[in-house]
Amino acid sequence: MRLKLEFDNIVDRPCCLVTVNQQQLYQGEVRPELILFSKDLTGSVELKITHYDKKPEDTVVVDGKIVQDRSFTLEKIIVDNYSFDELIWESEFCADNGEIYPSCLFFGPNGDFVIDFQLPVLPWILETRHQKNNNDPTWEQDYNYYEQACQLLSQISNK
Amino acid sequence: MSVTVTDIKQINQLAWTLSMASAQDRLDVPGEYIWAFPKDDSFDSVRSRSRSIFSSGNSIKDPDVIDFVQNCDVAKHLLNPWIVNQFEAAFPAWIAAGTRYRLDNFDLFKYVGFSAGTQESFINHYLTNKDRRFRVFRGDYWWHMDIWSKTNLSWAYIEDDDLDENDTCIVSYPFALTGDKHPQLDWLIDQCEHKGIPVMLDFIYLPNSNNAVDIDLSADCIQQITFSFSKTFPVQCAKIAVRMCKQKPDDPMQMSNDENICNRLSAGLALDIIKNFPVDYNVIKYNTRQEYWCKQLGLEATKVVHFGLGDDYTSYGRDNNTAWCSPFNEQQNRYNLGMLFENEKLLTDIGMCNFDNDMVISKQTS
Repeated sequence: MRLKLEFDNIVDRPCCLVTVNQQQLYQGEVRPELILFSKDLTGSVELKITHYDKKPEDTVVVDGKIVQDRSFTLEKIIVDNYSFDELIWESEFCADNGEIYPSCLFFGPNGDFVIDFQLPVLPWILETRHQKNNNDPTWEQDYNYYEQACQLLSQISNK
Repeated sequence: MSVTVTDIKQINQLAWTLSMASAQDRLDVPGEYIWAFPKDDSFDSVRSRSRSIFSSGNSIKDPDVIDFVQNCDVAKHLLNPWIVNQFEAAFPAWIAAGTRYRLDNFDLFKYVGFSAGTQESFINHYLTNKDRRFRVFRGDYWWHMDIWSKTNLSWAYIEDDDLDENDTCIVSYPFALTGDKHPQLDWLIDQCEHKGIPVMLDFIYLPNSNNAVDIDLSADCIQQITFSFSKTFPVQCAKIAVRMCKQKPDDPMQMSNDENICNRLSAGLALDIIKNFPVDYNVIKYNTRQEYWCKQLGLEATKVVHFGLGDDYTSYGRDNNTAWCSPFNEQQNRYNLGMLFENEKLLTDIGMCNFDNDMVISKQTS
């Protein structure tokens, strides 16, 4: 699996730990873009992005206002070249203090962003979208046509 | 009586495969329009293109014609002031030589004009008749209705209202939707003749047709006839067409002809083509392929060689936006088989076609 994560609004060099099914793929400073690989993954996947090592002094308050706060925002999840787009919101952020924030892409406190999906990712995206919007009843047969077209054309060499 | 059942599954698989092959630049003959190229081979891009694979009315992109055109020296025609006239002089004889249709009194149309695609003829017809109400049968070329709507011209489907003396009619023959004579064409000509309503007959698919057209053109109401090259030869974007009239028209297109400022590159190319390819070139070359694919896919072969008729494979799971390009494009049951003909090698290589070329050879020689 090829996993691309895009982050934005990175303030004060925060750190993250990225795991899939408890397998660590990255640990270190948050960068605008992380491209990570995981071998032999199939079926259900739990992607966890942990914000860690934030200390109380990393939130600077002046006159009751926060003037600096170590944090970042998750912008995009792209698995095997398919962006989750709006499905990125099918996630939750579990802060270390026990608070759970559904559909939260902002990493303020320390805690875990968690999203579950399936591999291969394309049918999961299509099915999940259809379940949410009820607007793509032929997704499964179209996916099969797509897969079959890929296989048919893979029989012959590129031009 | 056999009932033809459209093989939606196989048609879909072909559409997806050709769309994917287009995205990966693997077609034997690539598309000729930007919209025919998926932007990449992702699911959404391939799916989008798969739904229009069979939709256009355009010509078969015949590899031999493409090779011929690529080797034409068209630039020389720019230096020939007589080239458009030469094409206009040669064209009627080329059409008249066709044996797969009958155009009685074709020679009454003495005024032959090069047209920058039939669209130029149509626009001039709209302009000249702007105070009339335009009429077409449902299923005819959507461009008419779209343009009339966008330019606030008065129009109505023939099926929706009685014919009026202030109307003017345009009809494709063979009819665009079915590849055959419109069942009400004779009635329409009678009515128009009786009421003095001018008719433009659009012989858009005539060269690719086989025993679809049989008409006496002497009726006074039939004032103009048009012919398109883009449905016969892969020269769509050279914009080559011909308008023929019984009376000399007095409109911008005729002025361009009289001024000798028509597109010489296109007219010269058209002349080169008709000198080298007979009018029924596609019917001869592809009618066995049409039979093959229609049998394979459960389509009804039309009298126009690059069309088959069947259920709409794009409508499954959708209840709106099934018309392509225009809400007036109601031709989803008409399959353009061109991409199947053109990509025979690719489809054979991947096991989706087992057309026997010997069938064509034995048919042509027998």
